Amino acid sequence: MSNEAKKLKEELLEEIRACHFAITDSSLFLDTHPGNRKAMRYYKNQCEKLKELEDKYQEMFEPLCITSPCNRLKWVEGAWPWEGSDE
Amino acid sequence: MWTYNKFLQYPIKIKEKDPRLARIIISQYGGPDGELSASLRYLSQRFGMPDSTSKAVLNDIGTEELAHLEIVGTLVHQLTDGVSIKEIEKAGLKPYYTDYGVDVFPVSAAGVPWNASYIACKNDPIANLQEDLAAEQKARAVYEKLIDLCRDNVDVVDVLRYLRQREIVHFQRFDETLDNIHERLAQKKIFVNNKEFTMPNKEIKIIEDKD
Ligand SMILES: [Fe+2]
Repeated sequence: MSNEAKKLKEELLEEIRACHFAITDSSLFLDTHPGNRKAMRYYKNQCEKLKELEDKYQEMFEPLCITSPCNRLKWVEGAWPWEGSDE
Repeated sequence: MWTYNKFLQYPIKIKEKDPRLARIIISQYGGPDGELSASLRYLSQRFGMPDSTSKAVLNDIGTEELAHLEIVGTLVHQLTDGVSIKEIEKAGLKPYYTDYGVDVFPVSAAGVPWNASYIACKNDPIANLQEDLAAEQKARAVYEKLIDLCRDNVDVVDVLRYLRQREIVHFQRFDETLDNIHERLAQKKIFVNNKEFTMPNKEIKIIEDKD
């Protein structure tokens, strides 16, 4: 992978991580504040954004979840999250 | 059910390996107030909860704790992966190394293997949620001790601070859940001591009903 592609991959994954976290946190907030419309709007926006980001990442690089058929062989080949390697 | 997301909830790239830190951080993997205890506590308690808010909160926080278990395991792994036998000896890890090598095994900092008696399920929403509130505070306190002890390793401290912060958020959500139950109890919308539920033994129930 070129340095440029590596950088893009890393940046995209960081965006996905941030977005996923925003969903985790706002969703937990909505569990106990079901009537909060601002939180609901935020949560929905983040869900849409995550889907776009994940589709892009999985098509370009590797699957993040076994429910994505893109680049299936890289599920096994790619580095695992705990390894923290540069590839 | 669960499906795995192939990324960490918080990024971890430890530049300086240090098995001495792994030796204490492991407590948040398999110690009394660690993430394994947290996840199993909440995911087990959720089955007996009487209302939809507490089921959702326990399910969702229990799920997040599994992601934290992975984060702590990753810290331990990256702090010990590929270190020399000499470093392991210097870190006082000889007993751990003898039993587990540099695998990540659920034990406390004192070397006690994980035990289910760290958690409680009382089939009582108030008792359970009070336990959960205490558990979040205890986990926060442990992270603060770890932050003190790991102060020289910025990469490690950064992750520990994140985990500490999440304990505070979880405490807040559990507190709201408990308030919600108290409110519903006052309105008699749910019954904590539902004897059909908590006392399946009919004879006891009849005696109780007589008073
Ligand atoms: Fe927690």
